[in-house]
Amino acid sequence: MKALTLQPTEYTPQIILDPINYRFVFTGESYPENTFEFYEPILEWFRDFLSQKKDMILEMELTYLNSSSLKSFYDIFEFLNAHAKEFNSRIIIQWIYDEENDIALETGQNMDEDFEHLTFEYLQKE
Amino acid sequence: MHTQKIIKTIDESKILFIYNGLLYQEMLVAVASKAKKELLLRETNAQKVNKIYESLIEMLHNVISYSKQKHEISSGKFESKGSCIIVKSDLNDGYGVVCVNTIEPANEGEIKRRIDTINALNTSQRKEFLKEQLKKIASPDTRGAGLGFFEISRRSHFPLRYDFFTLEKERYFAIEAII
Repeated sequence: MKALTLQPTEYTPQIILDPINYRFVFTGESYPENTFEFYEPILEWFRDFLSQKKDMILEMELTYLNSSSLKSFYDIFEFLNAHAKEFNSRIIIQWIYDEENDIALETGQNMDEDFEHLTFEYLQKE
Repeated sequence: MHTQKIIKTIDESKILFIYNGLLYQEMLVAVASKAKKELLLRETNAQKVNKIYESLIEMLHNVISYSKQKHEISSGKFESKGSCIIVKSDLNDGYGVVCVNTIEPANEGEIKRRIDTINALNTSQRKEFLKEQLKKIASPDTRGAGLGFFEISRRSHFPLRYDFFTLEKERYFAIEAII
């Protein structure tokens, strides 16, 4: 399985989905023009990677998600949640937020409530 | 020369930032970044600045996607005409974030219904509304998640304000969040 890595732009996050080093990271802001088109390959990657039981830690340090990015991540988490339920996998979402960004924290907490088979850990940035 | 009149109007209206012209993704990034930089020079509350910046991005995306004057510049990429203004507000020592674009008159009722619905939600209803919208399957031909106004209202201290007006036979929509 190949890694999927994307460098950050002003309106898309850095994405590292690296099965060799076992590191899965989203960092930055997300407000692309065609959000669903942008995130579809990401969801596809997860579908391929998680075709069998796998535990993983996803590092999420997203300082801003626009409304359609929020929907795209909801869809990704929905898939991860279904995988965790089906295979009894342990999937940890490390939700990294800035103390001054209450919206980002609240967004994580809202997701947390909806996906009972995912484990959310909240990490406040230093 | 109208310069004096324009400057006087800007000062009296407490306008801190204004953009009027073509909007497309790269211009949106430039406008929002510039607005954020300007605000950071005047406002020490970084949380407030971020909320203004994020609301502005959401509003500008709405202009690009839904303005009557939009046209496709390349596959899936659109360009529209619109305006945005940031003013100092007397309400809650905050700022008014305003965006204006033309609309199809037939869409006026739906825009009004969507904003009125969001403005009428109490705290627990807001949570349910967000969850319901997120659970909906996005239509392949849609560009948004139906959550744009909601995400702006999340960052606004007061219910969203809006107005429809006619100028030179075009119908305009203006939205304002006080942050």
